[in-house]
Amino acid sequence: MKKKTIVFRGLAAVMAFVLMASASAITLTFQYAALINRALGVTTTKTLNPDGTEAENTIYWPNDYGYDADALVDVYRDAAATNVEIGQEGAVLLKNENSALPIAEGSGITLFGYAAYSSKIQDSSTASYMSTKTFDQAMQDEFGAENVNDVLLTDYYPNMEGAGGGGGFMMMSGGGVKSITEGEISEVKQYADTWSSANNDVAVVVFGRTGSEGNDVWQYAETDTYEDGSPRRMLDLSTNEEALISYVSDQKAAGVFKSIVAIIAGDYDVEMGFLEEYDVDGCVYAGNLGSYGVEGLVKVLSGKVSPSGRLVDTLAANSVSAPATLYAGHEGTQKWTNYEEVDARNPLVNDGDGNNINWYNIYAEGIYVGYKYYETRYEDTVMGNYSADSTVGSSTGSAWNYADEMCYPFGYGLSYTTFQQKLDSVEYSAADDSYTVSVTVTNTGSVAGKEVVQVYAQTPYGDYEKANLVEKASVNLMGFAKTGTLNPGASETVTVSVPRYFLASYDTYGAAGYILSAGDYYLAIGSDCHDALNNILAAKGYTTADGMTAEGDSSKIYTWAQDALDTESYRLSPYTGYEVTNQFEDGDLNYYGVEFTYLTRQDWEGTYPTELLAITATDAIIDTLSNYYYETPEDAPAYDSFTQGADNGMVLTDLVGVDFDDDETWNKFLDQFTVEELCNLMSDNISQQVVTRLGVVGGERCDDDKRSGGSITWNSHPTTSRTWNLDLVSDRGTLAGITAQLNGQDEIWWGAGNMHRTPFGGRHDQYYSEDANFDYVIGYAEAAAMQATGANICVKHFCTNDQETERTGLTTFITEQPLREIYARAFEGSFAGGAMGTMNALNRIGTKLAKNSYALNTIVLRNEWGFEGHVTSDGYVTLNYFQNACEELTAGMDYSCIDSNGVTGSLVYKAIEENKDGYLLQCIRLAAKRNLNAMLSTARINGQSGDTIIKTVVPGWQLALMAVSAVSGVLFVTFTVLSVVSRRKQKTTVSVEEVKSDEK
Amino acid sequence: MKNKPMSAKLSLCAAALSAVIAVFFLIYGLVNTYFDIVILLADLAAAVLFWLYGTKESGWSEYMGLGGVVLLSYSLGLFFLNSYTVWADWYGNFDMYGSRGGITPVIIQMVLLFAAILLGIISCFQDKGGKAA
Repeated sequence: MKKKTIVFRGLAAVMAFVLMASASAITLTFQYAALINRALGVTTTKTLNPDGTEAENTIYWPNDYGYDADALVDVYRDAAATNVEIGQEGAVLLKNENSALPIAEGSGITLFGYAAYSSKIQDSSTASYMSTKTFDQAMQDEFGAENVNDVLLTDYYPNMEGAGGGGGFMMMSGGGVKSITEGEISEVKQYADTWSSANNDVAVVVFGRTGSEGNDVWQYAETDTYEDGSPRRMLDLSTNEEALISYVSDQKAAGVFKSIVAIIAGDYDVEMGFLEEYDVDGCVYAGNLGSYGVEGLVKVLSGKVSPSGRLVDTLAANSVSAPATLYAGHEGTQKWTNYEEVDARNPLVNDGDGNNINWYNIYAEGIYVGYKYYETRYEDTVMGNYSADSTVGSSTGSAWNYADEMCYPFGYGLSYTTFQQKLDSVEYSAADDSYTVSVTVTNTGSVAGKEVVQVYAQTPYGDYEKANLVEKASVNLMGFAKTGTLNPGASETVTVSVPRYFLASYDTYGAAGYILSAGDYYLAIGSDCHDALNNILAAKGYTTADGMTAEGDSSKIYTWAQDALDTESYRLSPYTGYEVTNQFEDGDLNYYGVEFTYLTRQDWEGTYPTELLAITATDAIIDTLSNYYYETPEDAPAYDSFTQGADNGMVLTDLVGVDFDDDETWNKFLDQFTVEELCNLMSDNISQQVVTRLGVVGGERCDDDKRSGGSITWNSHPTTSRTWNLDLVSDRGTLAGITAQLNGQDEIWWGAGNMHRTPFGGRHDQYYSEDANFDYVIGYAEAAAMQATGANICVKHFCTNDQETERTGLTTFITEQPLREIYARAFEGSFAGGAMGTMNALNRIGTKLAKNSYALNTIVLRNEWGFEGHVTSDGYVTLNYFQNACEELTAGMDYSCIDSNGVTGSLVYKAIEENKDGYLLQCIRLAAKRNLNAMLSTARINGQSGDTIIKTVVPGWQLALMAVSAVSGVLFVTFTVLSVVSRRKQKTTVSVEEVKSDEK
Repeated sequence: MKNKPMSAKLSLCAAALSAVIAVFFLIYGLVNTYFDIVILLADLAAAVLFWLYGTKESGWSEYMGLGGVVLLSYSLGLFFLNSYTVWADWYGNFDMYGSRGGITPVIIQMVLLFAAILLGIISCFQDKGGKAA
């Protein structure tokens, strides 16, 4: 009896543990059920015909690959091939002397640099039929294993102190570190025997940098210093890297190596001064090559393909020499001096440590981002204007000089052949409101190759602009095109379309709208932005005698004069006809009573930002940081004026082909939802919430290409951008969309339009470039292609989420001109191309959270640009931070990303029902309409019609977990009871025996 | 202690470990400005129950050990759930949801809890001796 009691008690203890474990598992896994279902390939709804048979899966959004298992294999194969092509065309040849490249067949090669030691990404979905290669493997396959000395990669780097994780070429992580991993030169030298007598034709040295979500690259290393003791810049070579390249250079001088080729891995703009300093012969900027791009890179190195990539960022000699770097990232993001008061006065939104309300940043550089700063200051230096040659901002400490500051400008890239570009004509079409620039390209070299035609513009900077602080960069990219492969001697005429809209500038303080300035306009072609500017300067009569870095070619210019200021052409939006006027005055620091001067070209010396401004948050700042401000408007429609829960006999697919503006039909459908159902649609569960009776299926959303289950790891966005090949960009959009469709995903939260404002942003790999017009063109092509497949491209993070540091609530002070011309423009093309989704930034514009901004999400996005898709928050809501649900809804945000607990929808529902708030009800109906309209643009609706039935299916793993929990619960109670009963019986027995014993 | 049966010894070990866990959690919470009173109370209550089981001989103390296991299991589950932000940051290799000092202290806390639970369960399967049970 006693034994039974103990066994039951022990079993009860085991069951208690199992019960708690399974309950925890249920709580957690059910919250992320969509992710798990996707990983397991499980669906939660079935679309059935009325007779119970499964409905066919191709109606509204067909694809060319079909729908069986082989279809996915085929699309993966094509995607892999496209990635190889992107690896080829995205490679930018920066330097090539002494015929270092291509590497001749049979050459002996030794690989150096920790970044060369990279882990490959073997995507699980493709493992069965396609393998990926490390850089080492790809080099051996391309040049012959016997010709490649990889001893450092196999013997030293994996075992050295500090080694770990992936290396350079693949999807990298580990940003936020303050030191660079590289081998000790004394250890490297231990292997010198392996290259002193063989494999010593070419030394290939790889350097790379990493960033990641949440972690910007630090501007300065923590302990690594220059000889004078000052901290090393993280994008300059580290001491160990410099020792390595110095050693290799010495080996070359000693006759061991014939040439040195450097390769830059990753998407960070390493300072390139070392190429000259250490006599490096050739250099290729390879980028972030995903799973397959490395195979394209080695084809460039071997000369099977001539490089045709061009830079999409400026490679400055000094990575902190741009004005934007002062207020950026780890070093330039500051706390209010009175942050404790800010915390105390905002208890409702303080996330515990105040990180969401205490930090600010200033876009002090205005429009002078990337090349727009360096080239504009260059022109002013040549022309002797505006104290441009002062020492402020100079990397050398002496007068500012372009040659000292620049290694390779935006748009730069060499080839194994040479090209000649001839500007044939420029024609304006009033019907399209655009210029067509025709250029004939001729291959004047000896091998085949592709060439990029780049068109830039300079617009007038006159008295009106100066008086009204309308800033103008000396060159702005207007458009581009890439030729096909041209054999030696062959020519091709390409045309580039330049929207006249791109020539307009946003005039905040004068016309409060877009203007076309009076004065001389220049359209220029050039091999890069600097070359184009030199051509413009040549047309103005300047030469190297005036300080130009090279003579320009005025035959590559088209110029015209505009007599008068034009404030009317773009007074109304070219997309919708809505009046465009100031919307972001509260983005400007001066709006809050803090005097601040942004960089203006007319006073380089006086306005170049040199010292961080410590700000004491004013009452105006503190009061607006809370972002709780919603009140029911007086003219709100009555709650009862809406009908909800009606039965109008409609399902979602009845709206296929119905115009978004057809309010009557849409309202008839929306009337069928209950208020709670409408609110539920606002809470994302990595899928749309299901309303089966109305044919609203769940769908699945996923976080960009690299993380989506069953996808492949693509070359990064900037690596793809460096191809300057819109066909490849479109191919990527198409294949990513079809991959999503075949994996059951209907929306991809896709990196896109945030800017490479500085070289230090943690997620450079997700954003196209440093130039907004470039992003416009790329974004347009990618969005149009992906949407055509029936997958929503949800571009992120709209907008000014250009750094990771303190991004969750960071106050971003910015004036309206750069906001519109740069940070919003970079997204604008995606929407013009048809993107049906966008993810808001986590930061604020001024003190207003981007997702709470009516100006951003409704006026600009919808009213001006005509966007008919939906807006999501960034995925931060599960922690219940920033739940200004009513403010978000009324601003124009439609769903909360990863709101698995339904917090946002519940808050809105509560607000509507408790206050009988007709305005919120009107807004939630509109949000639902946008969410559903976005769903109609996806393949999720394939197979559905008014006749089909949608059945909810509980996945097996959920049933199993619930069963384990239930059974363990029952067993716990049972064993406990049995143990107690057994103990009582035992006690009774003992008592009886004791009585008997006493009687004896 | 020497003369105590194995069941009581294990329970006292579990009690000591539970107390250590509570202190560890308290320090962890203070360092990372994170606190969950329910977890702390569950750990402390478990320590008390294990101690009662190990030192008292009569009546319902027989089930104190079982109670300790229930409380620690609950504490483990809750702690795991509340640490998903740390797991998410660790898994994603970013700093998005709140890393709270990284994954190491979370794993230490969970391992300690599991060890204490294991001691409690083994103790429950042992005879404590005495009049009853």
